[in-house]
Amino acid sequence: MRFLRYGLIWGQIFFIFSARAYPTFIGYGYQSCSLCHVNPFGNGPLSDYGRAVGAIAVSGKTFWASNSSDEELALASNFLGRKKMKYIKPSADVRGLLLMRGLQTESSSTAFIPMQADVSLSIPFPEHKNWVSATLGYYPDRSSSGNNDDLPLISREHYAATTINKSNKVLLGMMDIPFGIRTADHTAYSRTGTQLTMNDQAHQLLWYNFGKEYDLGVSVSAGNLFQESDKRQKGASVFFEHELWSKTRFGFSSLYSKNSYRSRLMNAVHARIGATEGSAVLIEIGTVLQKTQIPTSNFKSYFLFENMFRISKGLHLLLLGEFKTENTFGPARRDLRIGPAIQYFPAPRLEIRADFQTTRSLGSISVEKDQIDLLAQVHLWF
Amino acid sequence: MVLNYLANFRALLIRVCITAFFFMTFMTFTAFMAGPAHAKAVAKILQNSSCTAYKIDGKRKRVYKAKLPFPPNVAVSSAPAAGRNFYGFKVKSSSTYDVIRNSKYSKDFYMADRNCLYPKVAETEAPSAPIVSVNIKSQIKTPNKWVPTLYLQTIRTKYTVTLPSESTTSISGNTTGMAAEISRNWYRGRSVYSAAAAGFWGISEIGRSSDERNNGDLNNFEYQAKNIISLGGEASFAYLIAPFDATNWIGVKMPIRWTHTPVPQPPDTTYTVGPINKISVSYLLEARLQTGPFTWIQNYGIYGSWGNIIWSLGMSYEF
Repeated sequence: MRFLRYGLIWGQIFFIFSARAYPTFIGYGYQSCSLCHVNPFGNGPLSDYGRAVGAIAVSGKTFWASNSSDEELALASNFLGRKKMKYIKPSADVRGLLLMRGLQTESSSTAFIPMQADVSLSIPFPEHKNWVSATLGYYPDRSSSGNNDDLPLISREHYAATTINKSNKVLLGMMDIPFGIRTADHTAYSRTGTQLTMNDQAHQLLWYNFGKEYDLGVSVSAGNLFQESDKRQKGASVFFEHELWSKTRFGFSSLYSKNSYRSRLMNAVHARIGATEGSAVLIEIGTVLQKTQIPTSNFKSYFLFENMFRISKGLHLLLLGEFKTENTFGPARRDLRIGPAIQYFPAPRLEIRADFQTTRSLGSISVEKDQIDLLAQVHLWF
Repeated sequence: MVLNYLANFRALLIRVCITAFFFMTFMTFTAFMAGPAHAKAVAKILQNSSCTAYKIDGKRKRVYKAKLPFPPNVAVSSAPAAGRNFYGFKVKSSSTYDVIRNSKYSKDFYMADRNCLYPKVAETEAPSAPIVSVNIKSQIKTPNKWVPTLYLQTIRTKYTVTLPSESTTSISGNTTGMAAEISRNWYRGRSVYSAAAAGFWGISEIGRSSDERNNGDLNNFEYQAKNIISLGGEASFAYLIAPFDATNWIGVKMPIRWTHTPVPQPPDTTYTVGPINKISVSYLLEARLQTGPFTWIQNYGIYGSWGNIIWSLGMSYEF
């Protein structure tokens, strides 16, 4: 009881732990990202409460957790284990991917990709109403020459936040733009199609208004100030999600942004439906209207459907189906990605995931063969 | 007019997706509209000692009568799991935060007789005998009923090109469409056998893949076809288990499908493309997630031969 009371208080005040958002956890009853994450729209560090949830409600009890009680696991979920750091909250997050492409072809390839190596630090101020948070992440050199001398690091977020009252918070700084379902898969069409993936944060002023049954975010963005001024996508976005019934949320998002070369207007509706404990359905459908200097507009659309089935504690079967087209009402390439995945949290601080993905591309005059890939991930957090 | 509507395959695909989305959203909306009503009805059980609630002990596969009434701070989940002759629900306290550990009831899963949801019936039929533990199978076993399902499907297919030399090579195709299925389930404890028959309607397109463009046998063969109506029927058998609870089902399915796809023949009559009629066996992974009387179904697997993937997304309703 005492732990829960403190966990709730500290969780509300947003202390830190690094991980990604799992919107399917609505199946566990966690309807809003803000319950477990420092950033109320998910992604990035988790609160102490989120740590505890990860340790006792989501993860299984194998390896080092096999003989521990729930209470012990929750108390040991801090950065330094059982020792709680009161004034600063560091965290680290590492994720590696073994990618095997074209399994059914003779030209299959295998590569190891360091997907994520982030360190975060959060500092809460007295009264626990204000806090600052920053995350520094590994960003490999992606220039064609590979001779970029810059440090392979990127600030994924850095912002200051304040709690105005019980229903309002304001965040100022660089962070993810709230839009749609923030699925953990940054290559999902709902994220690549909207160009809101793992390195697409922006400097913004974000107002977060929330109640027991809804979350509302309004953001005004100046773009990524680390970019040259003509490339910054300046604009505004709105995100709204409402709980219609227990563990069932419907929402919409809208975003407009513009730089010297293009403008984007994006809209999406989504549903997150929790079924029995640990199982959930995610649905999102969205459109992206993009205008460039060339006098043509591009009306893209995408569709995301994902099921999460809880098989046993910590073990989930995910079934993914997503579709996108580069031009909704004209000749263009269409892509479909489908496949099952196993997501396993065998013990606190450890996630293992294997996706068996099939990608199908249909051109205006061609029908490509399916490409079957295996994506095996290991995710550790501290 | 209908043909014009079908002419733009891309637009059709989008329409199918959008229609499916809104159809499923509507179905889910409807299902969850029913959810709170069920929850309220189930909540009455907690205050009505004439009804019977059962506490499920999954490990021992036994069912015990729950002690009624529950304490006043305990509420019922508003999205109860539905069976055909029972409603399953979890109890929780009023705060979300307490769900994890704060309630000694929160980890328990209960079932109540469906008749308890209808007080008049419950008054006359609710058991009043002292509680005896019963085998869980007898509680979960449900009447076998016909279940209609509507699927959105996409299938990667392969067509055969017969060359002037009488030798053959293949060319890629894709079919997107919908299937209407009627199935019958036979429950055996936490497993279910299912047999189904379905009708299929879809639109196929045929074109070359990158590999096939480098196929020397097809150098002199220019061929592409779109908007081919494909019709078919299938019989399928499935076996699923519910490892966690009675609303999550995972298993395998094996449909045998006949399709009729009138593939247009190329102008150069020395080539032929086929087959028009085809029988294929698929090997699928199937997962069902029950939300109220509706069930979300996803299939993923091999259609005909390795490398041809079929995926379908369906929703069923149990009357």
